[in-house]
Amino acid sequence: METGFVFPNEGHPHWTAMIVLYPTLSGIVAGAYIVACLYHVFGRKEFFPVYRFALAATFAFLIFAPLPLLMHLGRPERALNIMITPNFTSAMAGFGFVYSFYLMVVALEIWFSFRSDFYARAKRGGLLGMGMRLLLLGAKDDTPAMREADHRISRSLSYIGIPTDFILTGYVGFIFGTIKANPWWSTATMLLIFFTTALVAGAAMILFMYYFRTWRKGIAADRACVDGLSKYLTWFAVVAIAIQGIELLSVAYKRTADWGMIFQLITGKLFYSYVVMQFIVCGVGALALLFFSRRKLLRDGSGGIGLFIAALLLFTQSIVVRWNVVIGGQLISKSHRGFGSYHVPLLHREGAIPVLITLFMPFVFLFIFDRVINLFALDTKQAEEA
Amino acid sequence: MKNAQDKQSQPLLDGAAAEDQRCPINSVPRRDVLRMLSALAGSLLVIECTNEGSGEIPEDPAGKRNAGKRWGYVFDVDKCIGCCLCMHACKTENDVPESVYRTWIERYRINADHTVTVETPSKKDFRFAALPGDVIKAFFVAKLCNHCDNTPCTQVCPVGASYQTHDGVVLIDEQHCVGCGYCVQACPYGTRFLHPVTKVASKCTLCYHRISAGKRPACVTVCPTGARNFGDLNDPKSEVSRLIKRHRYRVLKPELGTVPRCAYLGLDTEVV
Repeated sequence: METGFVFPNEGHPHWTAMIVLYPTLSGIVAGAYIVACLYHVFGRKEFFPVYRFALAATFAFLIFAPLPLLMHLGRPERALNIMITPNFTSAMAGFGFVYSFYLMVVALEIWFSFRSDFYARAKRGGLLGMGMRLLLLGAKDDTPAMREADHRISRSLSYIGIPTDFILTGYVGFIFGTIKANPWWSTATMLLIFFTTALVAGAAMILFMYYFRTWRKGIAADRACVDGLSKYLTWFAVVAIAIQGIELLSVAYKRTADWGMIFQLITGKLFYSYVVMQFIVCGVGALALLFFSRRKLLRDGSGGIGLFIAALLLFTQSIVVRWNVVIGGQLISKSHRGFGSYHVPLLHREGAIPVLITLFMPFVFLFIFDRVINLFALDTKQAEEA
Repeated sequence: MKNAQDKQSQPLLDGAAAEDQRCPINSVPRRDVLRMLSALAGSLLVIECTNEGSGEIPEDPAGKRNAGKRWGYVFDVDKCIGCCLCMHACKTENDVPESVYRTWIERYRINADHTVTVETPSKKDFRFAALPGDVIKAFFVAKLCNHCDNTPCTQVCPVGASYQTHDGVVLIDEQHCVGCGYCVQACPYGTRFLHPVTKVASKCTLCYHRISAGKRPACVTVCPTGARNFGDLNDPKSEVSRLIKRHRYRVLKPELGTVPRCAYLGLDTEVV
């Protein structure tokens, strides 16, 4: 329900749940890619069990990332205008180019990383084998020398992929942070908030998916891998939550003309999602659980459930942060005298069910991908070889 | 264009050097695959370009007729009686759907306890409710697109559908807009909206079809008290230039640096 005076064209937010979903998906892409690169580029061997999954997740979430944007556009059939007639004074204009370039880099990296798996699958024949042969683009060699060449090319592509990944993720924050008409968005830390929560989202997703996969297989999770993932996740989360806190503190301390509205927002319409969820339950609470579960892990190898729940909570936090930014910012009327309202419809094009389906589509894609080629290196022999 | 394409594709299509650099892991030339992919991408572009909205921003509808003009808008707060004929006229002239507004009237009420109440007229008949007794003062303010000189909306439009004409009016190419809503977010005055029927951004055009024909905007034409004024700011003899010279005025949200060309005479500080 609207409260106070709201401009007549501001009845409901124009950027809805689908716009919350886009930075969520692109955030997972960024975090997952960094985890993949920790093994692939920076030589952190403990991430071998999840490296392939992380890379595949990057690709899966990346191909589905524009879907919420297309679902949101008033005229989705004109979406390519962004690349045909880009207006380069717009922060959004570069999206098509950066996204396409990054997708190309990741697709190539996937191809070179999984080529020998595609080849092995193609040899088994059948319809899937035919598909794999098509995917191989005629490549038929699978010698150790070729694999080494693949690895070298794939790693070289990562050097291009890392900065592109940073740009794609950071620029979403830049888009919000540069809208001076909105006091809740227009902060210098917005870019950092999007970027750090992206790292958290990706690392958390990989951690809980790894636990889930080992649980389904009935085998123990690799302790070094879990230790490494939870360590990086802790650091990412500490930095992310600290930046979120600093942003609130700086706005509150400055007490500008907008502070009154912002204070009303966070103690009113956003209290549950911002104070309770973002900071208490999924922020400090999740971080404490992560910290104590890690101690248990280091002490006696237990604490898996705690880490799993903490990862789920931190993953949720990254979604809640985006919700609070995207939706929260639009609840403040530009009249500075009232608040709008937003309720997610269930079946609308930008409703809850399409949003959930879009969020789970990359997971379905990964499930199928995992059935075709094993994405997790759950075999200890493989780990030793690596 | 063709030459440029040829030049770009030349190293891929020919040349021993390119042949040598081919990755040994691929026994089938990848050039064929690349060629196929580029053909597919080209086809997609052709399909898009032949779609409605050819990708070109239309020429300024007024042509050279308004050359050298710089349209401005002056609203005199003291003259407005809140009849809302302007809202009626705008809706009718521009076929604006019921749920959205290109212009509207706000009534500011300074209550006896010094609180401020702001209201818009009822959506049904554009009438304000009767004022309660304990009011210190009340006044009406019109809101519309400020046709800023430093427009945040045209800056952020990713496809260039939002643009400024040579005479300073901010317009939207409805055949080209993708309906992303970025401009709606960027406008500090809340005057842009996504059209519920066409699904693209829409806003006040200062009745560009009328002013290009030498007429005044519909809202200015019907205003019975002369509260709404429109004219050429470059012409020192125009009504708007005269009003700005003779009176003190304010613009809305000047701190944002948008440089609005809609000036308000006698505006209280409560108005944002």
